Amino acid sequence: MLNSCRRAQGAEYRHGSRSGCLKGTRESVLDEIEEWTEDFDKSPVFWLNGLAGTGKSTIAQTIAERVFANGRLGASFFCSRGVEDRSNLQLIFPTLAFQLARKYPGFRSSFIPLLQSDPDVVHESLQDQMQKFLVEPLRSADISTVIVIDALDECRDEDPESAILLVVGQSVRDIPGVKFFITSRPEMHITAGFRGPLLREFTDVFILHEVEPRTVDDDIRHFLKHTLSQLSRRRGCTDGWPTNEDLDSLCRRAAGFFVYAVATVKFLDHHLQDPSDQLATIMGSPESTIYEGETKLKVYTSLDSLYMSVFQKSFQENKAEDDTMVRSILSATVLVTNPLSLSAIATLLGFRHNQVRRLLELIQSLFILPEDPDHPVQPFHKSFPDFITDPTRCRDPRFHISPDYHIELALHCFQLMGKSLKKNMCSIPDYSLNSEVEDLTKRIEDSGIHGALEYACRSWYKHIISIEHQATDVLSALCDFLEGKFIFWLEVMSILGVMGDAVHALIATTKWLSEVCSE
Amino acid sequence: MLTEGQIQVSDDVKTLLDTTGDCLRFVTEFFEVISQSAPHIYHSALLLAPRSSIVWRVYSQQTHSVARVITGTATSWDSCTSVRAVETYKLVWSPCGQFIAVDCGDRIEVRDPNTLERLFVLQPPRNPSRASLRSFDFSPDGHLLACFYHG
Repeated sequence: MLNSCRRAQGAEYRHGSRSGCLKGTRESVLDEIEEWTEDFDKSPVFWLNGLAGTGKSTIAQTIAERVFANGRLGASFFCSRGVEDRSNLQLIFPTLAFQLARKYPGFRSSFIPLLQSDPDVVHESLQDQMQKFLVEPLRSADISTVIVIDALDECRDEDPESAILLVVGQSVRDIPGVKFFITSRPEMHITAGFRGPLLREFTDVFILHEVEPRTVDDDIRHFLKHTLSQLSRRRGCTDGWPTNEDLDSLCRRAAGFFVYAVATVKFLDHHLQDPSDQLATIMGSPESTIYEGETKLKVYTSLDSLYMSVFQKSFQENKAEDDTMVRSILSATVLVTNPLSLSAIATLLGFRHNQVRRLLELIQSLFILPEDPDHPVQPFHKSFPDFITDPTRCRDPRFHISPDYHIELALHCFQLMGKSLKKNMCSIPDYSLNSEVEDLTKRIEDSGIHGALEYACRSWYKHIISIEHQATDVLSALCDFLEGKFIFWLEVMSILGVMGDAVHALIATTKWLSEVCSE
Repeated sequence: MLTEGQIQVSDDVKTLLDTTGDCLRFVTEFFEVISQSAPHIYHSALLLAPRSSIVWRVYSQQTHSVARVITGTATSWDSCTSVRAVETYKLVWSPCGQFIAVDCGDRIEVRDPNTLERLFVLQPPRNPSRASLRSFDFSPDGHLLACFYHG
């Protein structure tokens, strides 16, 4: 029964490839948070507030691991903007409740009857989700526990005041044994939520980007020294590499941003390049990119310059047509609504697998690149898509991904559907209901409705509505699709059980046509 | 030349809007049957589509059914989008047309008017537990639902 609870997959702390803080770094902030988890006289909510790249998620990961080790972790939710379910507010509380039910028998015994009488928990309002599926079971079982929510800013939430925080604020007094550890960037609606009357007096705040620079620099230096000496041994570098001067320079460039140190190590560890050559490339680039005009993102200059070095070094011998391919593949990693695997990227864009692999391996320091070509490829850190889609930060037009790449992605979706969709793809017997076909999942797989094709069927309209002007190619591809493949597409949507999305796709497209194209 | 080009494009857009709208009508009209059975797209949904609809004109060759409609097929889409059954005491539309709120006795459900998918369920207040719903309506922008309970 418990497994029928709709939830976000892969959101728990033990999923994914995150690692915790290196021993000996971030000690004072970790101690403060750990002390807070144990002291019930302290506020029930802790907000770790930090700019992108200051190390929030790594700290959240470490806290989750430590609290789990002493048996007090109830549940965790690591939000992720690039993954649909993990950026859906409606799934946070059900996912947390599922984990609590798995851990605490007392919670489970009141949660399961609720789930039986009302399996549609995801569609309840956030207030009701919280009250019915978290507060009441927690109270009746008298549970004391810690709940971790990482990167709340990565959820889609258009309210002026964070909807999740509002609901947490309304409930904290009713569940005194429960502590919420929440991390996020200091975005307006989240700051408003924590400063609102419901939470202000119940929240401890730690501002990560305001820690004394010396402490952070020491931590970053310690991290670089440790990981680079390991790398040096493993790759057989000369003794004494990197030098103290190298470390000093890297620390200055990091300017308090841990993500810079992590990206640097990934860059130096490129399997086709010599680490000391790679380091020379970094040292040869300016310590910050020069900005003209607006400089509001000045804090990221060294990071931007590192990203730029990765590109310039990896693609220095590129011809113009190679650059086009680079941009296509990059757009399929940063503009997609759900991460695609290497083989799905190749199928969608019409490239060969080894072309995509070769290219991604050249810039592997920017990605989490799994061995298995069917596992999703994701940017190693959110600051990378932020960088590459922002023309004021990524100033080399060869690598900047403008919103116009949605046109290309939409066209690729149409092409793939045009080529692959046909009548009765899953050979479903005449007149049968979908639910009567016992091996439906296997038939779906065998007929090729997964990876790129599933993505194309479910996401073509999301790319269309992100196009900001009339695009003639897209209009004619849309026309061909509606007059050639429409009912076969409906078949797929029915078999996948997402007919509601089919309706929304058509409504959104109609709206886009009348707003963007009729001006 | 430029003006001509623009007229050309906007005609194309108009045709596309008609086609998209027709496809949407087809999906909403036969939403339940298609959701439950993909083959019924060919067995019944297409067969019952109005003869003047774009979907019928384009896809009539794809029908595949032991039954045949002899008479009674609509010539065009009904002015009523679709008929749906939902048990209710009262129903209000949001001014933006995107939601309907339905009083189901023990709760209020907000549904998508096109598909009747449940989007939100609002439970009555717990204190006092016998409070009864008197009235509810959407705010003019459709963002909020106000519910008035008595008791």
